[in-house]
Amino acid sequence: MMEKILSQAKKHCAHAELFYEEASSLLARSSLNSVEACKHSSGSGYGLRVVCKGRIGFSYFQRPEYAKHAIREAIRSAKLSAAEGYSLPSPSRYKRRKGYDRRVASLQEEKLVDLLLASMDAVSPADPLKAEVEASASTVRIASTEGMDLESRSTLFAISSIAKKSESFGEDYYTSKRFRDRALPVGASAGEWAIRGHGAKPMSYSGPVTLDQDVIAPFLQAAVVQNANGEFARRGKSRWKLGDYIGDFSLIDDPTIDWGVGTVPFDDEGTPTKKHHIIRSGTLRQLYYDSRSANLAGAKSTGHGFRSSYAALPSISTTNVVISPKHTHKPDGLYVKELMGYHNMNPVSGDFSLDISLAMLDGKPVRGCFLTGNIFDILRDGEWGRTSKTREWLTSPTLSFEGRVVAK
Amino acid sequence: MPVLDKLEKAVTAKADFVDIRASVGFSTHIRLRGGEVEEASFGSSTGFGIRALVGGAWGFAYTSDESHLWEAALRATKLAKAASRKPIGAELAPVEPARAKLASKPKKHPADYGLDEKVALCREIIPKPPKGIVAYDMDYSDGWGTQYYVSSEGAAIEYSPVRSIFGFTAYSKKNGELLRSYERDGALKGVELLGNKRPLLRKAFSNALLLQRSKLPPKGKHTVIIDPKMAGVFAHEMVGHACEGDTIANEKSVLGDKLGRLLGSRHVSISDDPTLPGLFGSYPYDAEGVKARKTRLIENGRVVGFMNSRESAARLGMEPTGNSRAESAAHFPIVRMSNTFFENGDRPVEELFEGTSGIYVHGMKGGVTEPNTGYFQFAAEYGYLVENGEKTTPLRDVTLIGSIIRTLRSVDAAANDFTVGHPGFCGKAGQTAFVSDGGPHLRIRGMLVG
Repeated sequence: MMEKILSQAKKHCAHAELFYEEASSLLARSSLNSVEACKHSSGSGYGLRVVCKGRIGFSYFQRPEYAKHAIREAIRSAKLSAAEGYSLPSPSRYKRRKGYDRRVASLQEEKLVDLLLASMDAVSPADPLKAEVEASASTVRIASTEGMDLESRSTLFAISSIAKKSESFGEDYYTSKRFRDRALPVGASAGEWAIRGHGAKPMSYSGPVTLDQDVIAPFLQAAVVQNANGEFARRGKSRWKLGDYIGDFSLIDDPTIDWGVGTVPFDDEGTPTKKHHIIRSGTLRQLYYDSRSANLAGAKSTGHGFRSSYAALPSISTTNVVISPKHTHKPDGLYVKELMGYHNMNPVSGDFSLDISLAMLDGKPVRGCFLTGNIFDILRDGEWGRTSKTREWLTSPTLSFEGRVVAK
Repeated sequence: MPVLDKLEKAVTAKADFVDIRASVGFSTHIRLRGGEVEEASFGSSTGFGIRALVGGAWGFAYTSDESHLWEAALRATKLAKAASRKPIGAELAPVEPARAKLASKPKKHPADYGLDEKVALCREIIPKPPKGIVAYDMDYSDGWGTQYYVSSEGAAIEYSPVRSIFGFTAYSKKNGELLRSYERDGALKGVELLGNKRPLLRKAFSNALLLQRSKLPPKGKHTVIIDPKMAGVFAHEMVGHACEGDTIANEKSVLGDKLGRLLGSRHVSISDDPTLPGLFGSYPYDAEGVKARKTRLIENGRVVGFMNSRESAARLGMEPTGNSRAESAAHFPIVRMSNTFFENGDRPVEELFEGTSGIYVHGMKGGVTEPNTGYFQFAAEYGYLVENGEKTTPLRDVTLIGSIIRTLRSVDAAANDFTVGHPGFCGKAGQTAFVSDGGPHLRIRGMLVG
């Protein structure tokens, strides 16, 4: 089927690439004390990228009978596109990675409901508000007229829980490509944070602030995704340039970690993945590229071309991110567990004013106040904690800095 | 066999209730950077989503493959049985099963225009950028197709909407910092949406240049006048989400126990109305086949209604309001808004400024509300300092912070210049919905600006 579509595309246009994705997921979700629903989803589709005289065209479809129309539209779109001198990636050898767990792919609804009910019970003495258990599996195949023909399978298993104690909420989650029965610890931790946050009050404060790993992720996302992105740098939208000093740490983008959420053998363009030191010993050493941005910048793809689905062209995205601090310190002061309003962070200036949903100071809960500061100042001057924790795609210690909190 | 007939056969799976939503859709997307085409793409999709209710518990199965429709219907029932170990006790408020066939009637159907013609139309409306503009981007998308709904109660609806939307971003620079201005329009229309849009795009250019002269706002409590766009955001984000029946049934809304209570000033009347003709958030029937209708949420400061699906209506002892929506056939329907707005006020807009010193706020860049605590933060596109009734210094990075109830009480004037139709995409529980919002200019006393 894929070969036939490619050969038809080749008749009209010299180069074509077909990205096929087949995905299924099974999910059980609770609401308060009950199971809200069990859901199953199964779908597949094709993304067709063609290159005519260095110009890129794209279309997508699900039903094979639409393939002819999709080829025609992709070629038409290539003719309209800017001449970029682009050519599709060539096939390269890649190493297999641990990212497919048969246990996840074969989970049945009864087991998912068992896990869901266990996580709900575990929040006691807090009350369950919402919990979710999801197991999904996907297969990706990339074939092109350049001789590429790759296939990769992966799985993802996730448990999340939100608990409530009057006006206080606590949450926790576990996400991995591998199955682990984490229902009890996830539920218990959500319940514990709901209890700890009970009776929280707003406060104004100036002094040491420590960010939990959960709240560091969006800071790094804003700082790194925007400013180490090769395409943004080319367009003058990045604050950083190679050689800049960022802070007292190294940042490694590592798609090779066994069972990591971002672990993949090759990206969604078929470029083999490998470990990259984005920031080494505090200095920006490497920008992220997919094949298109690399071509425009005269650089080489770093294997970071990912698609949100078969219906989208690849764009730059990170894999697993590991922070390795050079020096470590004991976390201190106000411990910030949950923040909201991340959209108010300015990824260019780095300024932020975020609403504290839950923090602890000397064992007492704090909520209803704003943490203000600048992301880049925090990365440059902050002190990293001693123990690292992996949360989804990020492995990082805590981060402490001199901060300011203003009551609402 | 016609699609509706196939679906009506599959809907007979053994459960207390079954419904199927199916869709066949087509879309184009164009992205111009400067005048150059970065992406011009076409796509097609199909999908079948089956909901089954067994013993008060829901099962849901989705497939993109029509040949697996019957298998998916059986699976939905099996999943409902698994969920019924601790059922949520879901019931559906009764409605008369509807049978209807409807379609949008665009002046220029997107299926009749090639990608090249759409690109040319996009390029035509971009004015020559003035000096000081460093970059500009345009995104245009349209979608058309047919959505089907059948239920085991006998509903059968076929609806063929056409929607288009575009966004235009202009950039200027000051001291190395990129300043961004954004305008968009969208409606239940075809390619004709792009007609007469040069003035709107010119505005994006002039606002990007205005930001170069802007200052940061004075932080603290101020009298704030918000424009119809920001009023729409207040209606949607601040009040609308807190009036969604499922959020209320799950005890997560600060307004959940306030029905009938006087919470706001007499200038505050807010409604949701999917029946307004041609708007981006409009539709004739919701995702449960319930006929769309206007729902008044707040009337002269008093909470008078909530938006409901059939399930949330049954849980709250209310009536379904036609607000059950799903992003696609792959998504389980949940309670969503449509076109949400402050009703018109009674004073000329000039009167809101007369004698006022404070901040004038325009447009919206991002925002978040916690319906359970009632706190919100909205970032405006730009603003002005208002001194003795006059707009003076332009402002950027204006963030409004507050609590729903305190803010509703503090609205002390509403202008009579109501507009509605600012299109957007609302996110909730991992799903996106086409919405729009609006209102008149409003004046709010003692608003915290961050």
